[in-house]
Amino acid sequence: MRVLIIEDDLETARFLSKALSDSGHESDHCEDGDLGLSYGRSNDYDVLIVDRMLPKRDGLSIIETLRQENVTTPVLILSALDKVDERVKGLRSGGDDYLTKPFAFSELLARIEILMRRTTPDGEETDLKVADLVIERLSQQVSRAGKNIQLVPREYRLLEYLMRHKGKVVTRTMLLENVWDYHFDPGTNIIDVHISRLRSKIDKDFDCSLLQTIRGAGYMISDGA
Amino acid sequence: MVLNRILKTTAFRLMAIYLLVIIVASIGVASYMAWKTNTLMTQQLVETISAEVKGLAEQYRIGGSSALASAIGARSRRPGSSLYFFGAHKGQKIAGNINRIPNSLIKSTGGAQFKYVWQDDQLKETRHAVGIPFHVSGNLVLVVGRDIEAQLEFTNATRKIFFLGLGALAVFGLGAGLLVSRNLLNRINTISDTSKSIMAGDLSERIPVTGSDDELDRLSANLNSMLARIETLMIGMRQVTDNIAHDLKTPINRIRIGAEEALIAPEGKEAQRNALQATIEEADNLIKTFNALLKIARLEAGADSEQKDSVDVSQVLEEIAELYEPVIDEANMKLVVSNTEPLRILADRQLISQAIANLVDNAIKYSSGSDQDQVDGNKTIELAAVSFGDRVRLIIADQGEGISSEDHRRVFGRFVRLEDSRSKPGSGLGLSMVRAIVKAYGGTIDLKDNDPGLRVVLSFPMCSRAVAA
Repeated sequence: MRVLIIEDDLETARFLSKALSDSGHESDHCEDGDLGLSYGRSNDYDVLIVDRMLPKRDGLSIIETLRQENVTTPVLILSALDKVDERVKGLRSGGDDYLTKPFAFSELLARIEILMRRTTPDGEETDLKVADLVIERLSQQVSRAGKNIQLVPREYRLLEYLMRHKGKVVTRTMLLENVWDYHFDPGTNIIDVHISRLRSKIDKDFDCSLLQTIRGAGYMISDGA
Repeated sequence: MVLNRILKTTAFRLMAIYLLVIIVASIGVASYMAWKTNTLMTQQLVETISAEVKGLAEQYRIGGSSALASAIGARSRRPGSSLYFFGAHKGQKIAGNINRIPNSLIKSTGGAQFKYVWQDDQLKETRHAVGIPFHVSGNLVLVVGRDIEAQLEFTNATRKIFFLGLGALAVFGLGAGLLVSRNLLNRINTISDTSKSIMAGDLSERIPVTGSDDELDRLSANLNSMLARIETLMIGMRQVTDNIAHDLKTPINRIRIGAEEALIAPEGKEAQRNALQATIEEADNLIKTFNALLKIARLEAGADSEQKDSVDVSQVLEEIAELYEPVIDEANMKLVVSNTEPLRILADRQLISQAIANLVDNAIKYSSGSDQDQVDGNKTIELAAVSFGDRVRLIIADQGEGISSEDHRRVFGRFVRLEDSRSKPGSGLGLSMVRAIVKAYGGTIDLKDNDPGLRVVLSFPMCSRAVAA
């Protein structure tokens, strides 16, 4: 997949290009806002990574302009501005996700991979399915191999999020932001404990584990092929 | 020099302008009154004289010139009488107390002012009078006049007094203006001198407040509170830089050591990987610490607190409880949440959640303490939201080690970690952050003994109306 990096810090851009190509993605790089906008307009990319403070034209203005011109390429905003209202501003301008600097590459990769898939809007499919694990979204029923599984609401939302992004790595921060709507670090191993509870309900009594821990990155639910 | 500065003050200029306006207005009013009074008095005089002339003319009609002459003669002898002349047109006097027709009356048909010579035993003087001539018949003329010297004197005296008064007013007014302006200038000078010494670097200086509670006093008081605020912020900034110097250098050094270790280690070997992994972890921790410091500094500077919403803290507690419940359960402790009803405060949901999360995290850390071997499963963490008058109280209580009362104040400082807690993970910023958040939304934080354990009580002003969620 092709990624456009609009970032004025050459070191960050170089690292991103290299790491993306190592994970099998192509990328182009623009150093300033005007160039970034004209590249972004070409519609050749699967995802844009946009820094906020750029020479010539700031990141939010690039995104706003692209959205006005009906360019729907998913955008990940990468910024050192980490206040909650800055995040809100970023998402309001048309960004799809917001990651603050400094960041771990694994986090960035997980997020852009999910963004790339997001071209089909959420909630379109009614049922979610991973191997023999099924969520019927209308009735909020969860079953595996035909056996009903009782989940508390939060466990349900956790599983739903994982299954909506099946086959993709989901980081702890992404879970906190999307399942709990918290944008701070609650410390200790809270997400891990929630995951292990969920796992004990959906995986424990079955031969094959669907919910995997990806070391140094997060979690992934997949068919276990 | 000083006088020059006083003359330039706004107060003095206003005063001078005011004084000038008053003087001009007074002159206007007084002139009008004088003119009006004079007209009235003259009119009255003319009427009196006309009436007398009429009476005398009647006498003449009845008794002829001899009757008129005797009547005039009789009237002339009365003290304070009018002035009379009865005689021939060319100057021959028949009766009266003035000797000839005044020049100004010779050609006049109406009345006119004239001068006459007045004489008694000691004095002889020229006085002013008003008179009306009346042509009796042929070349006989009757003149009746009235002395107006007293009236003129009165007018002159009044004018003199008026201008004297006005002069006194001007002198007094300007004097008072100078005094008031000098006083004002002195007070303003004090303020500007204090400002200068503050600009020179002494932020602890304050502008003296006189206690008169006038506008300058209030200005000084406001400037003082502004200075106090600035000083607090400056101290906060200084603390941050001190903290960075002391507590951030160590982890940075550890990162450096890690990188060096990786460099020395044989390429591609486990040791190199481990060293790099450790370096990244150190860096991540450093970033977390740095972010926390920034956040605290920003909160204390009030930069974030304008972001306010009506937040239901009962719900916030519930959500945090839900987040931590599995961890608490795993640590073999119990979580009790007692909420009554929705309780709203003005705050930011993320920040309030973070404050409570920090406190709950602490509660867990310091309850599952050193006595791990005798975990009895009865230790409880209690979360509660209660209304208390017009305030909302949030209580986070544990049954852990607690904090001794002499340390209650100290624990909120940045990077403060109590002796017995150094073995546990943490940055020493958790409670500083909690306090910064609580203060940013007008709240207070209290530590109490939960016997055993710690009881943290947060108190916020209640927000009565529900703003759009």
